[in-house]
Amino acid sequence: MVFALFEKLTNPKFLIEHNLLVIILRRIHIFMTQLGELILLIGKTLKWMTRRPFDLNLIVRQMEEVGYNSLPVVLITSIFTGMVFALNSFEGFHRFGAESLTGTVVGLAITRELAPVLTSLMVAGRAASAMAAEIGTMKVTEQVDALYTLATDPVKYLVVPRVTAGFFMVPILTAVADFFGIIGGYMVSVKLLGANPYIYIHSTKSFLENKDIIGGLIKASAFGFILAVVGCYKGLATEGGAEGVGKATTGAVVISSMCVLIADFFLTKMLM
Amino acid sequence: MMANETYIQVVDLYKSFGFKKVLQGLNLDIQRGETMVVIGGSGSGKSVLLKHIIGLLTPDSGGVFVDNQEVGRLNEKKLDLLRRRFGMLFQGAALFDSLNVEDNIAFALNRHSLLSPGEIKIRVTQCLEMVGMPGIEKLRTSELSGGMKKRVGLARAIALQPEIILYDEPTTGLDPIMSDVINNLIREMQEKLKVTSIAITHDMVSAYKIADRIAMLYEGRIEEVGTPEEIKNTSLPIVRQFIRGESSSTHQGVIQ
Ligand SMILES: Nc1ncnc2c1ncn2[C@@H]1O[C@H](COP(=O)(O)OP(=O)(O)O)[C@@H](O)[C@H]1O
Ligand SMILES: [Mg+2]
Repeated sequence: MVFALFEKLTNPKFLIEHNLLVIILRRIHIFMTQLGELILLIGKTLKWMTRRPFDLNLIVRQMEEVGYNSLPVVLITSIFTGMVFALNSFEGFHRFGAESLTGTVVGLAITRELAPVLTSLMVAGRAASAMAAEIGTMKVTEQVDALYTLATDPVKYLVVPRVTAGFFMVPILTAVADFFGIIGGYMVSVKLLGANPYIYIHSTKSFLENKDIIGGLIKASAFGFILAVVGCYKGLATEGGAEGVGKATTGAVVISSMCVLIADFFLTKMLM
Repeated sequence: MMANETYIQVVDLYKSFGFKKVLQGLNLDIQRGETMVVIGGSGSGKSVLLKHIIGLLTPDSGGVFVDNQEVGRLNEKKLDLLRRRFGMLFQGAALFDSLNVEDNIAFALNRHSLLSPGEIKIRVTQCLEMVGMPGIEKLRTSELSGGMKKRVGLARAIALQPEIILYDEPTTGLDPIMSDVINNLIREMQEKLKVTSIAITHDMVSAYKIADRIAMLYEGRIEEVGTPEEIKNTSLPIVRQFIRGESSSTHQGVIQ
């Protein structure tokens, strides 16, 4: 069945008859165009980051928006992730009497992987969507055009502060998530499952290296940069009124989350 | 009268979006100091024309020359410098939601002038007085009515003392009284600031009131240019239909 379908779909005659080839090529074309535009935007952002004026007040406001306002979400996410991860690992290690490794595994998983990725996904949901909605609204109400006419590049005024905030705040949030994730794991292991607190702390400390924590924070910086750029890109590419703003917002969350997960693999490999 | 000197020149301008041909070989000369009003139906490409003049869109072919500089070919820095000589009032005013009235008007001053904060405050007050809205510096843009937004938008446009002001449908969506206020303001700007103005509109009352010359945009080209008197007495059927607001059989044919 599946094989027959596959054969059909790869048969050039079938493709041409049903215009599928055109549709596929168009999709690829759109994807490549957008990828190109995104890369151009990254280039422009980096260029404008180094140029005066440095809009410090804008950067601070975005840092508050991206960082401070995301704290509650990140706190809750990280504590519960640490807790559930401890539950699962304890159960697993219990099968071969290695419960003492729970602290190690929780520490490694949180700092290397869970804290950076989950924090970034949360910020993608909160902040990247807000960026797309805000900039998208400005686009469809001609405020972006107005910036140009006031001799101000929207990349400088809108994108740079958001990307800067993402780059610096996501690792800070991740550090917070590291801490509370480990606390969550500790509480479940020691208070709920009755692990020896001394051994737990020892097993966390002795196997966790600076490299794990710093590697996680570096990844978080990259994720923060990526999700902010994608949010801004989606905003600037908005067309077609309120409906367009809605689409841009959803698109920003989906695409920035995917980009974070894809980048995660490559960055982890690079940092090994 | 004004000196007869071409200041802005639109030469053989073509622009399409996808398969949609919007401008198809548009030519238009604007003299220094005059107010040119471009009239035309909705969707005829008036805003697209205006956006080419200030370099928000780049032509497919042809070009726009402002003071002998080709807008579409300037590098970023020169384009920025040229844009500082423009003020633009957008159709929906396009005030920045995130800033209050004062910061909207002071936007370009804060970023591009060497004025001190005190001097900028004074300039903002002046601009607000000029558009007849003194004392509303601290209002948020969401607290303004449509007419107030346009006037604040105009105040923002004149803050850097531009040589050219572009108006995108300055009276659309306003009641007749507020339209008249705006029309008077546009005349005042022209007399007090000696600016060159280009306004686009489909409001003929406004066009007759503010224009030195009127140009009719139709099917991507300029159908006719003339003084308000000349346009009123035009012999061209398409222009006559438009200014009298008649929908004729030929027009319906085009729409279908
Ligand atoms: N950025 C754009 N992308 C695609 N189509 C556009 C764009 N700007 C304008 N158009 C199309 O060009 C035509 C003319 O638009 P416009 O100049 O805004 O008309 P108006 O004369 O009412 O100001 C419209 O059909 C519009 O849909
Ligand atoms: Mg328009």
